[in-house]
Amino acid sequence: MIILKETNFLLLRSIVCLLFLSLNQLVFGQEGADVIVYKGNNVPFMFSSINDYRSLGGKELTGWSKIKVKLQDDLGAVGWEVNVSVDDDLFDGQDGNSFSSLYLEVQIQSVTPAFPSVAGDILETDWVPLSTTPTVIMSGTNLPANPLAVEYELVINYRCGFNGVMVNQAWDYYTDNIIFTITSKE
Amino acid sequence: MRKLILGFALLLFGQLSFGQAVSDNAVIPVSVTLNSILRLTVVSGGNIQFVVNTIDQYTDGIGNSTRYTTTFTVASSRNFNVFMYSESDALYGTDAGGAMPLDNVGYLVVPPATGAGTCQATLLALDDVATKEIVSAWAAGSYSASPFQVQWELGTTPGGTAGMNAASLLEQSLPADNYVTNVFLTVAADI
Repeated sequence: MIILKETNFLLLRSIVCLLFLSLNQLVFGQEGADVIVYKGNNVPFMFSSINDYRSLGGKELTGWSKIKVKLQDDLGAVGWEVNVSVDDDLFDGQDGNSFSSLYLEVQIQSVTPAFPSVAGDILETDWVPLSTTPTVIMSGTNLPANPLAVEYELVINYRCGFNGVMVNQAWDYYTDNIIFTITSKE
Repeated sequence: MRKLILGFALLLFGQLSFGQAVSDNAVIPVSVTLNSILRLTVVSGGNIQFVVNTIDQYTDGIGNSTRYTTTFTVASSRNFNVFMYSESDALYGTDAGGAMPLDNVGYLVVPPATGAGTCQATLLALDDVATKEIVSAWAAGSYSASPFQVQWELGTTPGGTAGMNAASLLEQSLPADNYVTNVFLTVAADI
């Protein structure tokens, strides 16, 4: 009889603990982030004429990618940011050649809805040379007491070979990966 | 009381567990294809014909003029070299079948106004060495507006300078004939 009572008490305590955890999650657990590329999820550049190489403006893919960035954080985030980087500081060619990832640049062409919308928001509209060090292209602030909810659609331009830097690069097929990241700041 | 403390501890633990920055990313593969651009075009002077018909020409040779100049353009996305050589080891007569030594023909190269590199700027006798560079490590680009020039001459240095034949055409006593050869111009990337 006494043993049965002990068992009930332990069960009750476990249930209380689980309820606390569930409550905590319900109160603070509305969080998540998404970066969705729904257009232009592959960026191909092709240099096939001498003018392609020599053009001081480089080759541009305008409005090539559309990316939706979403973030929700109810746990006292003080802000958020979107940054861009590459996997490797060198574009690797299939034949063993390489060139600097800085020769590839991205630019935000437009943001929907309009951004920046409040003081403290930052939008980088210039061309951004890419490296493994992330470069912030969008950021915003948030009062920790407020829940944070962000959702924007970005149109991205790409440029390669600005100032004719591809002249005298070895002929090859080069690849790298561009990484767009959204993150909250706690 | 213990339950209350436990509850707060769980709450704190929950916040620690779920209060971290949230993040997501997307990866976009990017590729860059660099196709080879390497083109040489003979614009003029693709058929050079020296006609020797006076004793003076037999003695002193025929100097260069626009009539004896080959112009060619190069477009290359990489620094390049240009090679020039004769197809045969001599100019062979089409009628009597005699041979005129290649070193009776000399040339020099006038570079374009733009670009940088080295070229055969002084007179040199023609030969059949396929590795003879007349333009070396010239900067990549398009030289259509300002082409290279090969300025030809025949039998002009009887003193034997610049590797040319020491004897004049007259001294060589070559039989009258139509002596011909083909000269190849080749462009290659300077790797």
